[in-house]
Amino acid sequence: METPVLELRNLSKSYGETKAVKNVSLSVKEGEFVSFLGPSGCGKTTMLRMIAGLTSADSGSVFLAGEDITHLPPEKRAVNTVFQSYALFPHMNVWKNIAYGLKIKGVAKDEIKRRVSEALELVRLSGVEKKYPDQLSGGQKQRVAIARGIINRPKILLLDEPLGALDLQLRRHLCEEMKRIQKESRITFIYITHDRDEAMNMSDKMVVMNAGEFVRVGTVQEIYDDPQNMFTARFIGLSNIVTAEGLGGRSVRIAGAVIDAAENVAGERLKLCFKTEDVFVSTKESAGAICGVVDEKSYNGGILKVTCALANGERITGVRADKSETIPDGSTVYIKWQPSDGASAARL
Amino acid sequence: MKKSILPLLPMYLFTLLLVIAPLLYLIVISFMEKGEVWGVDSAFTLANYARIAEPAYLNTILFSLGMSAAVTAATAAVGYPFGLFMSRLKSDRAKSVLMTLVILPFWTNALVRIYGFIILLRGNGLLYKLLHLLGYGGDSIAFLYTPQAVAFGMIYALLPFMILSVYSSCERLDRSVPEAARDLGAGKIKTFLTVTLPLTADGLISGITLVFIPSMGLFFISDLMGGGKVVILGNLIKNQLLTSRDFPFGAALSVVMLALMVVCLAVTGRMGKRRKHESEAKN
Repeated sequence: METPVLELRNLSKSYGETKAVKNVSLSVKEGEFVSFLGPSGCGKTTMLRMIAGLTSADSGSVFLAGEDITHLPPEKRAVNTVFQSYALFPHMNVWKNIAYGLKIKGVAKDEIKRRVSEALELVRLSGVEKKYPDQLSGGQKQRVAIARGIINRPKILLLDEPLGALDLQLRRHLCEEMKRIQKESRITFIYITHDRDEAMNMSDKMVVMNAGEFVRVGTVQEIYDDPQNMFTARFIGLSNIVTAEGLGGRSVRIAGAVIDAAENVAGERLKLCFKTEDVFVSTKESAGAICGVVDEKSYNGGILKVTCALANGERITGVRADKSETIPDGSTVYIKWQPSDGASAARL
Repeated sequence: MKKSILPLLPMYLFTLLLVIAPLLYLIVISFMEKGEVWGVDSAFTLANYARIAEPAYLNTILFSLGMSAAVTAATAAVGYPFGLFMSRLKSDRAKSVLMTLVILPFWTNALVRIYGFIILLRGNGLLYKLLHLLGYGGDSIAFLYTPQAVAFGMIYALLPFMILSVYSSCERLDRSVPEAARDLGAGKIKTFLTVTLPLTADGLISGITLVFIPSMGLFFISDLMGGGKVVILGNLIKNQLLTSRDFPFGAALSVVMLALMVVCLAVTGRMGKRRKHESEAKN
């Protein structure tokens, strides 16, 4: 088995009484784009600083390509960071900022020149090398920070919410750029964000964090199909969560109607999570459908989404079964669940 | 639309009456002769300036400059690390306690504080007794009334200015910037030399200005802690005005001191400007 580029083993960190990171473990393959997704204050940044060596771990260890780096200072780790505030050197121009890491290592001048030019080209910044950080736009600063980070050819580039300060339009564009840079440089990226769209667009692997713990680790697809817990489901935007009652076998009862959960569920009460696109709403009565009342409608990406209130007070959102049908507000509707890919409703 | 100067009039008057007029008066007097009756006779002469070139006075000025340079170097050597350390403290409480300790001396008159030091340091003072108790005896602390004691007093009096000015520029430095240097492979010392120091040099430079300039004129410290044996430029001027009653010569010395300060300000100002312009000129 190939050695993972990064391995975290039972890592913990507390600040006084608060536990920022609680006993987490993770393994990252080389060349992956991994996102740490979680709300602010969930320990993402602490996590990243422990990997970079800027914060020391209370317990547990960090392995970089098989080597224990837990107690190495930041300058001895083949890991570089793109800081949230970029932390560019304000007294150096773009060229010197990018060349800093090579200069410190004593790389020959010709080599520095070649590699800085390459890096500038990779982040598409050629032409601004003589400018100083305070003369750059937010997007340019971010590119300089990335170029400066990858110039040393680190095993891992850590990115701490690098798009946080930018506007939406630019963020979308830079997301694509970052993905491209990651592919071309073939460096493992560990990306920290609280924005699920960014994380889901870019990542090969996602780590959902809450209150210092990894609540769900997997590919975007895996997590989307089976969030496994309420926090993950809500955080990645799966809002169709309803209470069901297991009736034995695959049958569950939701708000009076009995439906097929597509997998054996044990009795008792449980929470099921549906994808909006698998829930169909119609004014026409049909057998085995859940009964609800239209609460609100919204157009999202050209698709009409209908949110209905169920008899038990919960809400569920779906799409129209018949695209030509008009569904007035307040009308009684019949809701069916038909998974397109045969997947089961995720049980939380 | 022309702006009325009326609201600013008090400021102009203030500057004119209290800054420019006395300064002009000083310069004019410095070119006059000493008079027996009124102190000054209105006859033009360059003799006052010629007298400054005499070895006795010239040596005092050089000694004074040397003293200021030494005091400035010492305050920088102590104040810079202190200011940096203070800005890096994690606890706000510790920061404000330290800040209070730095500012506390300003609550008492400087003269009183210097007298306090004399009481501590003098022959039969607290320090002497303490050292005696510990077994160090004899004349080993004939420290008071030496140039070193004067320098010590000045360092004590001027250190807060250095600390506060370094502290404020260290405080402005985004902590992630030196962290980025570490992250990119620079050790602690290299990070300090290539990132932290250049980015906080403005505080150091203004600290140097704030210490060097007053240290040429703080005559009461050299009078008290030097016991009248240590003469700096400030003493020389004070003696002309209060003891010898030679106003024109005192004025000439003041003009020379003023010129030295202007040179000092020009040099430090240029250092600050050059750093700033590096970023603007290069593109």
